[in-house]
Amino acid sequence: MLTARYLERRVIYLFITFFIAVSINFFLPRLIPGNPVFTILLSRYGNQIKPQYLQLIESELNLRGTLWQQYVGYMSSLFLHGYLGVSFYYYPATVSSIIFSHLPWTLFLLGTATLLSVFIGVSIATYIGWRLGGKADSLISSISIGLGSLPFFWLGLIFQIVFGLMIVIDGQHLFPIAHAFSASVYPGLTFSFISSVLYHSALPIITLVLISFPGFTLLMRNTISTIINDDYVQMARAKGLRTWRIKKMYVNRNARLPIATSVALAFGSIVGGAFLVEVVFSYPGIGYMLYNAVTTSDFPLIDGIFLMITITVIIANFIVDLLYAILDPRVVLE
Amino acid sequence: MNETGFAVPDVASPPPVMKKRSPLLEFVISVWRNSKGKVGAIIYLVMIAIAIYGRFFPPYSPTDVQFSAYAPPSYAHILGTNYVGEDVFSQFVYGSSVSLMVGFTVALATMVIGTIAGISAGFLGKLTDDVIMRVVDILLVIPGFPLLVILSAYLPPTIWSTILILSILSWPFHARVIRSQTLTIRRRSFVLSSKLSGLGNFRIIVRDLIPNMLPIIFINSIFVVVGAIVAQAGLAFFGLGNINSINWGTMLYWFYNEDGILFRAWWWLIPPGVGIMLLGIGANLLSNAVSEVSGTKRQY
Amino acid sequence: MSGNELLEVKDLSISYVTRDERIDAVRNVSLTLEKGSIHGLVGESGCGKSTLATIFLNLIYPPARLVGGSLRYFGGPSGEISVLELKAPELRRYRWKEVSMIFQGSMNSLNPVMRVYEQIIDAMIDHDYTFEEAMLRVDTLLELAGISKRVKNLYPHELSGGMKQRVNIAIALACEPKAIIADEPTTALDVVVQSQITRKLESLRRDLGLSILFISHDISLVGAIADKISVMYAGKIVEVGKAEEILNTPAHQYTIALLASIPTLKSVESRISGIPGHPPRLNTPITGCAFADRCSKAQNRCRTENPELESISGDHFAACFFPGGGSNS
Repeated sequence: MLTARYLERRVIYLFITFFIAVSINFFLPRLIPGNPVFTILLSRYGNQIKPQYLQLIESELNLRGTLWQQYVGYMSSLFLHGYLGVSFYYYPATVSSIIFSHLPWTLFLLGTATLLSVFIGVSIATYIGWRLGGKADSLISSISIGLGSLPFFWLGLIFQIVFGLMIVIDGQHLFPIAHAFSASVYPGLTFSFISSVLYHSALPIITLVLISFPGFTLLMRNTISTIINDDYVQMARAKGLRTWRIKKMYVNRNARLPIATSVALAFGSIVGGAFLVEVVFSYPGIGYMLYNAVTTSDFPLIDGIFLMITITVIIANFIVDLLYAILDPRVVLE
Repeated sequence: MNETGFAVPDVASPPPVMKKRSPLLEFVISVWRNSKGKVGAIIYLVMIAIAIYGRFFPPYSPTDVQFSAYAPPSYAHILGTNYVGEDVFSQFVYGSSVSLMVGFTVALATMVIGTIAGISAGFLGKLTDDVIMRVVDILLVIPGFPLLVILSAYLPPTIWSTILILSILSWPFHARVIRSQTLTIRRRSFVLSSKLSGLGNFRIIVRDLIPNMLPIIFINSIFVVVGAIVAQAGLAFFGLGNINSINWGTMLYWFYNEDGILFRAWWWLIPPGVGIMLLGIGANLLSNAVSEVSGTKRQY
Repeated sequence: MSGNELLEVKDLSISYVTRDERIDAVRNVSLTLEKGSIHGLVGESGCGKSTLATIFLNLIYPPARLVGGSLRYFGGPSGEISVLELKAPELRRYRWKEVSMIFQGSMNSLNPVMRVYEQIIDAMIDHDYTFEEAMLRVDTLLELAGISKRVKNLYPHELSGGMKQRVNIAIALACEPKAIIADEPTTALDVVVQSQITRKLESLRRDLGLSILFISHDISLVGAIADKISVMYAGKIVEVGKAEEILNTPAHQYTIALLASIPTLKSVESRISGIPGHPPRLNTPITGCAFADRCSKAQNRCRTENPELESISGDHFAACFFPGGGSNS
């Protein structure tokens, strides 16, 4: 049950985690000897920077004063102004402007892939959960295990070769292998734009879903196989209930609880998958931007993307926690 | 028995006699006798054998570039060649040793850190438990891959940095599982009786806790091996860590960065992925076998 | 046959079959539950009484397997029903409408994510009550079970053990069954609640004309409310008769030992004597009397021949070559 006390605890927890993620972001560059951020900047542009501007750059990067002063300065500019610094590579664009123009693409991939994976995984598991030990069970379990063990980007590359290059129908490739939409359409709420977006997202999303759904299938299958032997399911059978009612109200309603927790955990791993798949398909989300930032040593952008995706995941977890409390009447406080 | 005392004496079966054979040996034998366990173990044994001995007998040096580039599989090169004409099969064999080394080292570190942290939390309780579990909770919520990327970006690009980072990131999950196992086993009577008989905490942990946790430690570590190999491959794909080391991850990095796609060099792409998939399947088979013989379930 | 039977089990055998072994949990058991009566079934844990209980609703699922025997039900509108031959849809309709059950470990037999009333009405709705009828009946049922009707909107985890058990009784009564199989209905409850629940079952028998098969390991508890008692040992019924006959003039040596192990007020200071030894494992066929190894009166014959149930007096049967010799009166 969702109680005020539970909500309060979750909100406090949300802020603590958030605060710690921000602190990692602050301390990491400062703990590494010879601050790589500054070093990179100097080595790259050192000969163009007049010595009198060095102090200015230092304060811009919030590297002046004691560690504590830096910390306070960092926190206040972040919390009061949402300021994440300026990108080295895309100068003078701010990190936050870059992130906000690319984050929607990532959220689109992540959200669609997660929902589809849960839906497909759970549907398949409810089908085989009632036919445990049968042919369908062992076949689907084996396929799930094989698929779930693949690296996301490897499967993405395979799909690119097979569906993006090798298969040619009427002189046309089956799917595009790069970008979020075709260069010939203008962004907007038009049919051609939306269909181009969906077309371009097909391979990335299929890649993500194929690797993510097996985890849900296996978890749900195992959960069902345990629940079927629980006393209340035996009782439901004895009560002479209709089979659909036993499945829906007794088995599935209880099985969805562990799924809810695992969605939160899996979301974190799908983020990693999405980042890699974005790189494979040159898909303009923040994972692709992170890749670019890593290859150009654009540290402010790396830090900013880490922070934003962490916040996204923390909030997703928070929502799942609330959902869990609503689903399970037993949850009062852990 | 109910509380009335007016009951039929509950004659329980006699307590199980402790087996004389070492529990570890017992455990290994029973997993090997399980058909899934056998297949899984064979996959791993073959992979480990390739990793250890393969580098001494590859058909060519993995860095020999005297062959034509992007050559498809042929009799001379059963897995073709890559962008500079290195033999893909030799690279795969050589690379497996680095990939497996990363996987097993990270798994070992994870087991040591995670088991100590989990047992401490579960056994000592109170403040220790609170502190460890809060750290674990927070590390589990932060998305792993982005954290890996940011840490790797700041640390020097060596394979040991990668191992260190992966170890830091994979112990919390294991610690949580071990903690809950510790709590369960602690409640069971034989630990209680060890306590009554005056054994110290340390001996209880070594004699009662660890032997009972072998199955779950095994299951977790085998998945950490695979997870670490996949994560290292992902990092390498991002150009992080030492991209000049030859392993399955860097093979994929160079495939992507040297237009393996446009050359449709599938022979260069498929081996590392299949290697990883085999390890994943092997891990699942072994874990299922261990579950079947020990009754311990994999934790998610 | 007096024509008063409601349920009749005949020559029933149930085994648990796994890859490694086969355990014959119920061996050739016959048992009759009469209309409006309480029949007690007593035995140690592991004697097969809970396995036997599952047959009344035909809840035999792997690894349990029905080896042989029949179950006839005489309470239906269309006369006699052979329960074990019912097809799935008829079996579903028979379950709970004709015979319902209170489970062992019933603390866990309520669905944790459904409210109490939902778990009461779903059985009715699936047995041809309309939603309105079912909802109207909820209050009556909770009252019958002796629990406040306010609990209907609660979840199981908000109830105490005794309250859960009363909810289970309310659920068992939902479809107005003719019989209830109560499998250790009071285990894990404290003594006060235990006697409340027992008395509740007794009054329900009286008020609703229910037949109850009361299964317990506690012969004194069963003796307090049962009309007839069957004693089960190692998968077999070893003695059956009127409650007072079993309690006062037990015939089978096992029953005698069982009764001797009850502490009475008089014997409060004397040591409570358990029965020495263990019941046999049922994974190998047993020759002779299964109790012989623990019996003080066992002779050679007991180890070689199978004793069959034989009449001691009237309706009192025991499967023992050397019956009697012990009296608890």
